[in-house]
Amino acid sequence: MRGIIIVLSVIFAACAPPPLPFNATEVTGVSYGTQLQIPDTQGKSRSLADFSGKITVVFFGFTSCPDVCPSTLMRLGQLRKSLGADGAAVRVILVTVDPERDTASRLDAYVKNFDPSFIGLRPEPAALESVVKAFHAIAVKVPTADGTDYTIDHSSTIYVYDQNTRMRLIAQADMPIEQLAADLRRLIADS
Amino acid sequence: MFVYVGIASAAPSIQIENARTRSTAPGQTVSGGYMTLINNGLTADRLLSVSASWAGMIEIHHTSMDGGVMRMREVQGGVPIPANSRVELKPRGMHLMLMQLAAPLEAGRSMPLLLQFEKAGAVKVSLRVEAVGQMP
Repeated sequence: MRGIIIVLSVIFAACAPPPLPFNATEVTGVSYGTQLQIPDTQGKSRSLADFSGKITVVFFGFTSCPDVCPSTLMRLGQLRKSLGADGAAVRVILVTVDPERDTASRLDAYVKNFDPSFIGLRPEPAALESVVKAFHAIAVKVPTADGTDYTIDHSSTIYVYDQNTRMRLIAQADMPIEQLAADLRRLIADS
Repeated sequence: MFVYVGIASAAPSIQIENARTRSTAPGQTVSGGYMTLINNGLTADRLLSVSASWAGMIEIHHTSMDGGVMRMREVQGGVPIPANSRVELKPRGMHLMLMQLAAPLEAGRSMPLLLQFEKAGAVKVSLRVEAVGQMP
């Protein structure tokens, strides 16, 4: 019996336990958007590499989105707070899918209303389609009933990059914040 | 039993609870409105339309999340409120789309709103403005 226990101990010691899966979908090896250059609200062209050293969370939205976008941004603000001191290692970026209406100043005021550290990126209208495609996302204008206004159907996926700006996770917008926070803690600890 | 019926019939048939919206940033022209619609009556009613002096256009929308894509569509024909029931207008569900805001909505303020029901007629509601960081 003792012999069996010793043998098993040796086997377990030799094999590191497999890592637990993340709550979000792990997509390590995929690199959506990493080649992009998109202007920020100061007009400065930014790429994901500019945010190395931070966990970067990217989300598509627009300031005239009344429901899911503010709800998600509020939850991402809570996410940063729930991480305590580690929250400073997380950078949240909203890429507008409505650059025609979302001027730089409007986008900047909108994201900072949720959290002063949030960053808005505003593709030029002509570049929007290629930006959205780079994330395998969609953004489609839909006129309101009376035709005088429009809303935009868009991907609500949350994209997460690690501190080396490698794409690591994708999460749905309604994932419980505690689950996403647990994933981000692991990414912060791993680096 | 008679007392209960007497009170039920005397009370207004439609009540609104927890009417709220999110504060908006300068330049932002749209916000979402949420509330609980309560029908204490014995007959079904329907929320037909909503208006306010401070929003150029208000529509009733429904959000759907399908395959990672967020879609919003106008609710056709108004919101049915069955007899003796509660209907929630809530984030990521059915909500008011408050458009063409005349000025930013400031947290702490209350904004008057007029709801038009098929049976109950016009009902005034005060919409509480909550800070964006507070409201899901």
